[in-house]
Order: sequence, then C-alpha cells, then structure tokens
Amino acid sequence: MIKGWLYTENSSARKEAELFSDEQSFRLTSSESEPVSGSISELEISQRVGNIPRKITFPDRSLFETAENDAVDSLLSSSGHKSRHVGMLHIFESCWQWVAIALVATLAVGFSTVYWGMPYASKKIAYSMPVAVTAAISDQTLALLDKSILEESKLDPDKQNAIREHFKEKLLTLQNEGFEYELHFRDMPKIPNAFALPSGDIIITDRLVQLADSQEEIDSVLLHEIGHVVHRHGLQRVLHSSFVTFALVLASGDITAINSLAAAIPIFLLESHYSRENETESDVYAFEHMINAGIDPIYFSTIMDKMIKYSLVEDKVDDGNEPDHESSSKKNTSNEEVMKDKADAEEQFKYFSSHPLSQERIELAKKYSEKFSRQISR
Amino acid sequence: MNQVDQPQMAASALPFEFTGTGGEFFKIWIMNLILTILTLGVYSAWAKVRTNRYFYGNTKLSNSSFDYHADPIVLLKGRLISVALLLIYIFLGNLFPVAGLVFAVLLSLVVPWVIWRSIQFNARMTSYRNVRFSFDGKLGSLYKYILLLPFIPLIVAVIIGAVVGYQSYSSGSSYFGTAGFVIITIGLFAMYLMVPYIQKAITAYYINGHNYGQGDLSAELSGRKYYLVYLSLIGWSILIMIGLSIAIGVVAVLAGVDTSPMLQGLASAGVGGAPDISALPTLGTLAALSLPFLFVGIWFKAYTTAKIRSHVFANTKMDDVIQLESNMGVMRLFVFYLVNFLLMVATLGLAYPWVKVRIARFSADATLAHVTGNLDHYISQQQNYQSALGDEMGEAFDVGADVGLSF
Repeated sequence: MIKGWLYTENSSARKEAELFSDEQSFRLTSSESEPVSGSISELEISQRVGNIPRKITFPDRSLFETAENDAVDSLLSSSGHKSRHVGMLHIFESCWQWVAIALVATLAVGFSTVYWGMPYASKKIAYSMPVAVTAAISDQTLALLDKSILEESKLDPDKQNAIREHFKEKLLTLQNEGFEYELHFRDMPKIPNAFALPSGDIIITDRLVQLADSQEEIDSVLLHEIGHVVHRHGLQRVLHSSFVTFALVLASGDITAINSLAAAIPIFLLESHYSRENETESDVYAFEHMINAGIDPIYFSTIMDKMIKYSLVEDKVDDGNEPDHESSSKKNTSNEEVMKDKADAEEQFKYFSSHPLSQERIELAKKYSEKFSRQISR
Repeated sequence: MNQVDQPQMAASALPFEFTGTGGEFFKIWIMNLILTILTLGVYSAWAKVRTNRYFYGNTKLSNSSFDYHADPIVLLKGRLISVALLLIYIFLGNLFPVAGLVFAVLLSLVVPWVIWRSIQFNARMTSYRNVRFSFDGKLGSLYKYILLLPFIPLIVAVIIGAVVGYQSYSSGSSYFGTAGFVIITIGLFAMYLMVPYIQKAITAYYINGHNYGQGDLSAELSGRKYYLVYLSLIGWSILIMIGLSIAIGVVAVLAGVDTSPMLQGLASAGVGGAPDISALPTLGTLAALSLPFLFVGIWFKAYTTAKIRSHVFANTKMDDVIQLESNMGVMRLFVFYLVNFLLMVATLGLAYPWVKVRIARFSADATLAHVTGNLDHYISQQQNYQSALGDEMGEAFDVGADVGLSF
C-alpha cells in the first residue's frame, strides 16, 4: 500500500488516498470517492529524481502524489511497467561507485578536451581553412586599429622603402605558403612592437625600427611575425577562445557565465598558456628561417635585450623628453639589480603573461645561434 | 468555510522549506555532466529538467512541493537554436568585428521577445499542488523596459548635444562641440540614473504578469525605495573607501612598504609588446591589496540583494490571501556569499552542487508566506486557468536569461 494525495484533473483540491497493487493491477481508494482500479500498465509514472514526491497519472488524468519513492520503484519493477528502465538513472545516482566513476571520467574528459582536444581542433581547423578565408578575417582589423591605437609612421620614407624592399627580396622569398604579405609602418607612441594579422599584414612600430641597430635585428622580428601568419596563430586563437567560451556555457548551463569573474580567470589563464606556446613556435620559425637565410639568430636576442632595457628606461623617464638610448642603456647595464628585479617580477607573473619569459626566449635564440655557427664552420 | 465564517482568523506565517541536500544533488549533477559530455551536449536538455525537478520538488510550502514539467525535447529545440546563434555570434565577433556588431544589434532586437517567451514557458512549466502558474505580461512593455527606456536619456542628450554643437559651430564660437560633448556625457550619466527605476519596473512587470491558477499575483513597488537603497549604497561605499585607504596607509607605514612603485606598476600594466611589469608588486601584495575590494564588492551585492528582496517581497501578494516576506539580513547574506565564494575557489568549482543547494535552502529559509484565512481552502479553489487557452507553446526558448530576478 502506498499513501499519498489524489488530485482531480487541473484542480488543486486534494484528498488523502491509498494505492494498492498486486502484480498487474492497482486499486485506488480515497476518503471521498469511489475506488478506482485498473491495469498498472495504464499508469504514467514520473521519473525518480532524488527524493522529490512521485507523480502517478491515471487514465482519467487525475493525479496521485506520494513521497514513498521506494514503494513506487518496487511497484514499477514487479509489474514490468514500460517505464521501469527510466529508474536506471536514479540507480546510477544513488550508487557511490558509479558516481565516483562519473566524477573521474568527467574530470579526465574535461581536462583532455581543454588541454589537448581544443588546441588540436583549433589547429586542424585553422590549417584546413583556405588561405583566402584566413586573409578575409582581418580585412577590417587594420582599419579599426588605425582608428584606435595606431598613428601614422613618422619614419623617413626612404628608410621605410629600404626595409620594405629588403623584406620583399630577402624574407618573402623564403615563403611559399601562398599568403600575401604586406609590411606597414605605424607609430604607437613610445612602444616598440610588431604584430601580424592573419591576412599577412605585418605592422611594425617606429620605436622598434629606431631601437634596432641593424637590418638583421629587424629581420628577426619580421620573421617572428611571419611565423605567426604561417602557423595561423590568429585564427587558432579565435577558434580556441570560441571553444572555451562555448564549453563553459554548456558546463554551467548559463549564458551569463561568460561575464562572471569565475569564468574569466580560467579562460584568461588558458589563453595565455596557448599564446605563450604560439610565441615559442614563432620564435623557432624565425630562428630556423634566419639560419636558412644566413642570418645569425643571435640578433633576435640582441633586439629582445634592447626592448627590455627600453621598457625599464621608459618607466623612469615617464613622459616628456625622448629617452636617449645610448646613455640610458649604458646606465642600465651597470644596474644589474634592476634587471634582476624585472626577471623576478616576470617569473612571478609567468602564468598570466601572453609571452614567454624574455630570458627563456633569449636563451633559445642563443642555442640556435650556436647551431648556426656550427653550420657556418662546417 | 470562507472568510465570512471566520472573521477572527488572523494571518498565519508559513515558512518555505528546502529539503534537498548537497550530497544528493552532487550525484545528480555529476551524472548529468558526464552524460552531457558523452552525448556532446544533447543530454543537457534532460539534465536541465532533472535539475529543475530536483530543486522545485524539494522546495516546499505547507508540506507540498513545487514541480517542473518541461519536456526535454521541447527544451532541446530551443537550445539548438540558441547554440547556433551563440556560435555565430562568437565566431563573427572574433573574426569580423563589424559584422559581429551588426549581428549583436540585430540579436538584441529579439532579446525581449526571447525573454518574454522564456518567462511564459517557465511559468507554464511550474506547478504547485497540481495547478500551474502562468504569465500574461504584455510583450510591448518588455520592449519598452529593455530597449527603449534605458536609452531615452542618451537619445535626448544626443539630439540636444547635436543642436547645441551645431549652433556654437555656426556662430563661430571656439567652444565648438564642447557643450555638445558635455551634454552627451550627462546623457550617459543619466542612463545610470535610470537603472534603479528600470530594475523596479521589470520586477513589477514580472510579478504582476504571473498567475497561479486563477489567482493573481501582484506587486506594488516603490521606485523611491530602489533609489534609496542605491543612494545609501553610495554613502556606504564612500565611508568604506575612506576607511580602506586609511587602513592600507596605516599598514603600509607600519610594514615600511613603499606603495608608489606599486601604483605606478598598476598604471603601466597592460602595455603591449615586451612585458612591462618590472615595477609590479609581488603577487602576494597584489592579492592582499585586492582582497578588501573583493570583500567590498561582495558586501555591495549582499546589501542591494537583501534590501531590494525585502522590499519586493513585502509588497508582493496573491489575491489578498497570501503576502510574502523576506527576512534576509545583510550581514548574514554577506557571510553566506563569502562562504560560497571560498567553497568554489577552494574546490576549483567542484563544490558547485553544494553551493546551489545552499543557495536554495538559504532563500527558502529567508522566505515566509503570510496567509489570511485558510491556505488549503484558497488553493483548493484554484483551477488551471491556462488549460482553457490551450497548451501549445511553440518552441521554448529557455535561455535562463538573467533579468536581475534571482530570488
């Protein structure tokens, strides 16, 4: 016997009722109405979720509600009711072994998807996109950047042309991927920087050109940017962040999760991680192609070194006068302590940074430089 | 047995109860998660139904529970459409910023409709004692509250600003544009001033649109109360900021820390190119520094939620029979939020089911229903009002849209 409440269709008036059953048939008695009986197979029985009240709907749409979940389960199994298997979920849910397996499996699948699956898929998709599509992506980007953070270059046009010519004749002849590269000169006040758009547009800032003492240093930076284009890093990043956002929305089942801090931190950490991997990949690309073109990869480390020192000087000079690089870099090389502080700070922020530690990049350049010297001497 | 027979029957207070437990829901949650993963997301609709049934079924008033009735297949259709739109939006936004923006604007035109359908659907899928809720709020009002009212100050300001700017330009004034710029800035500021009013309007719309059977839910909210809550929040935040700066200063002096390079570092962080973080403090100091702000942020949330909830509930009733009350204290809510936050951080999110159950229990415990007369009798009179209108709903967009109504 199962005790519960009986409701007639669409009504919230209820009366106490008792449900009796033998193998195939049931009989429902309630205080105020005639007993009803019939076959158990005609009943609609709600799925069990935890211990919430169970609902049994009769053919006349009246409803029997009971808290006696276990009794309903045994009625289901002994009668061979068509819904008896939907109870499976509850069996899984109430057994700690299954829960433990599910937990481990979820963590394992989740981790591998995030750690290997998504980057792999991003890479595969990025590489399978035709070059024309990749190029179309950044169509509007340069125009947007020009309106916001970039200013017109103040470099001597002859110098620009010389670098552009060199870029076309020496560096682009190394490429055969089908990208159409174009070099743009722009100014970002006081910031030495270079970046590439997926289309093959490479932007280099005035300050970086001024910092470089030789064509080879500029070459090393440009080859690094070409590396980003060839490896389709821009597209990979877009795909990857889309995947991460999408997975988070699915996992939490809430679209507003995109905005919450709890979601933002893991996304940021993950993307920084893959961004660092991409930087290293482009570094390696640059070093290998420098060796092929007969340029010593050590030039990459010298320009990196200048950029670090420049950023230190910039902190001190703050604004107003243009820093005098000759004297200030001398001042700083003597100031070993400042360099060490900087390295310490970088070390602590390792996991937040979009770029690998400068020191590691310089070391890698030196390694390739040794390889280069060995090849020359051979 | 009606009220005329028993005029002496005073209002009795009935508590809401939540009877679920974290451990039980954890098991349901983890099964939902693994099945969702294994089915590449398709199961998420079934997961949603199980989750909602668990929470509704464990929320009780007067020993009867609520129930959730959505058909997973119906949910799945809505989800597939939402997922497709979300994917398009993410990709466009990342790949073609301009096209992404256009798409977002177009999408925002449908948002009120989607929310409206979603509220309607969720009301319809909720029952208590075999009688369903329903929602008959007007779609037009929602468009007004979401897409029109918030932008009125800005539209007005832009028009005035353009006129003023043009006049000063044609009169050859050297202040060309300045006045216009100031007016538009004021317009932007006025947008923020509208927020409490709009929040009040949407909440009232939400409650007033709901019915339980033939029973009518209604709320008379006061915009003044909303503004008072936010005003006192501003007062508190000024006090807290002064207190915090003094405290940080004192600590810094005592510890002999020079904070100026730290602030410089913060100011210069985020510059592109070579990492420029030499002046940044160590992670430890940074965390210690941001911790008070985190506490303050959580406290703000607790303050507004508790105050507004108690105002809303105190003015919400059903047919002069049921009158709600919220007794959430600000401090208790603050500690509650803080514990939830720590639980989530410490377990890397695995405590999510416990936190969800904690929230449900906390909300239920802080809610009372004052009943005039006999609840059983009143409820027994309610018939399904919507069933006469037909059951067809079309696709259900259950977006879980947060309209600022998390009670």
